[in-house]
Amino acid sequence: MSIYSTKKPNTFDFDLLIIGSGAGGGVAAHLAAGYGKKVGLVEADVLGGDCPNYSCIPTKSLLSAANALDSMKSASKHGLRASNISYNASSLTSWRDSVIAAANGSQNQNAFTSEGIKVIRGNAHFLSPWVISVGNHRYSARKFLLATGSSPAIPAIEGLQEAGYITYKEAGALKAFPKSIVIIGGGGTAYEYSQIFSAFGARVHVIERHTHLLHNEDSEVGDLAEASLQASGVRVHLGAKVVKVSGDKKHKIVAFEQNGQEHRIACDTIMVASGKKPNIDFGLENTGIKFSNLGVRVNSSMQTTKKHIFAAGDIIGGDQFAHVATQHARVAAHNMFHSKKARFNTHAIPRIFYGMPEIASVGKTEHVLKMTNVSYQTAIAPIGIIGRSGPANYNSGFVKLIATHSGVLIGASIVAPHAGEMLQELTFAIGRGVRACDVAETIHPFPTWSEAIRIAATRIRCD
Amino acid sequence: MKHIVKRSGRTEAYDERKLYASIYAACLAVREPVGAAELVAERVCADMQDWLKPKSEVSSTDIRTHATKYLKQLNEHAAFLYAHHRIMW
Repeated sequence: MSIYSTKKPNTFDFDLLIIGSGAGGGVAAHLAAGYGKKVGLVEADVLGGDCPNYSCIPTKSLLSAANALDSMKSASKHGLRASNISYNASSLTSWRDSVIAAANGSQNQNAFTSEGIKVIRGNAHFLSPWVISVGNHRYSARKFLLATGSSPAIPAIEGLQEAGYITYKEAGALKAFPKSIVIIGGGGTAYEYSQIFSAFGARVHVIERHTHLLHNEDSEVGDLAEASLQASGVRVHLGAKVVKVSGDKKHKIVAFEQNGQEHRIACDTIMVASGKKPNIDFGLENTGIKFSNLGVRVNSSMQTTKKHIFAAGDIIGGDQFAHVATQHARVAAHNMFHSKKARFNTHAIPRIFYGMPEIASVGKTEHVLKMTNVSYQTAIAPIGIIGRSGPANYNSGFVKLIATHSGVLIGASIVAPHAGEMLQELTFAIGRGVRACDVAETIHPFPTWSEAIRIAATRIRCD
Repeated sequence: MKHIVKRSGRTEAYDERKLYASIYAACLAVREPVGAAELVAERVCADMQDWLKPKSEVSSTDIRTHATKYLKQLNEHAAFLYAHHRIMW
């Protein structure tokens, strides 16, 4: 039979072939192996994918070090004295690399092969809906999971390619920090890296085309993020469009337009942080599934338009977080081998932007509700009114809750230290359709940051 | 060695000269001057070489789809002609 045949072959090399070993593919491989299936896992890059190797873990390591440095520098606020505070770039980056290596320990090849999962190294390319080519071999499978993730999206800016730039992939592996950097984009990556570079002595400019940072979040979140960055010395340019880049490896000029005027910034490094694009260049045309540059189309069972091909993670587009990819993979792996189907629910997806302070949100935002004409009520509790803020010397954040008219929680935003940890209570509540008054009646210990959640919940009316 | 999997299932080695010839012919057919047609064909072949680098086997449909994509950036009319005429493979 020709490999071009769209007829299902009689025999297969694997029950499941997974392309990509990141947050989605790795989890699905373990689950399917646990179901007793014959699983193959194809990976062209390092095992574990983007999150432990290039994005989440490197960034969080550097942010943690930046936080420690900032705490030492601001020790006088607590009546402490600290002197000769500095850092050594090679010690710092060595420590970061050791954290990355340790985080990857659970994703090494033995973790897969010990469960009977065959790890295939190389680039996969579909030759038909049932067959892929990797290196000089072809493999067929009863089912496929597409989990190839995403890559940085590079905007078409005149001179950018010639002048050179870095993305989060290179930023997380730098051996020395730039002296001056322009970050193009104002999303989560820009929020995190601008603080890292600023803490380690760089002059940082953030250029964002929207009118506030983190533009998918409510404006008060973006405003507070901007104030926080400005306070740490980062220059933020909003409603600005980069029109041209010139220069060479060491000296660059970034020209941007803002309010009809052209401005120029000199820097030694440019970082592009203007989003990610799904990795779809592996012969998907030969599978017959529907996809576009925005990603692969799936239903709530994580199934593509071909019944035997599923997809998980950034390749789908939408919320590109490791925890979302993991949940996609859980749903996909279950649905491949069980008749009772699981569904991926999109109404309680947590979004977290790490830094000082942390920003966390879940569910609906007010600006989306306004656009859709859905009636809702909101309540805000400033962090400064709770007992924890004084001892911690932090009082500018808030907890914002959004609920239906009957008081059922549908969205939340938190700007506070440890906001990512605080969010779980609200993610559970929104996921389960809990009313704000039930959260308000729950005892929240004093003095914790979570008290702000209870206070905000008391301000929501429940019918 | 890159291999092309034909619609019949047969495989053959990737031959850049065949791609060059068909891109060049498509350019001439839309009245691109000879020198320009050569440059376009060279550029498309170079782009395809980059695209093929990590791959060992691709289908003939892949070659047509991706060569069309690269050609479209240089000459839209030639790309249309190339995409809709089975000159090669």
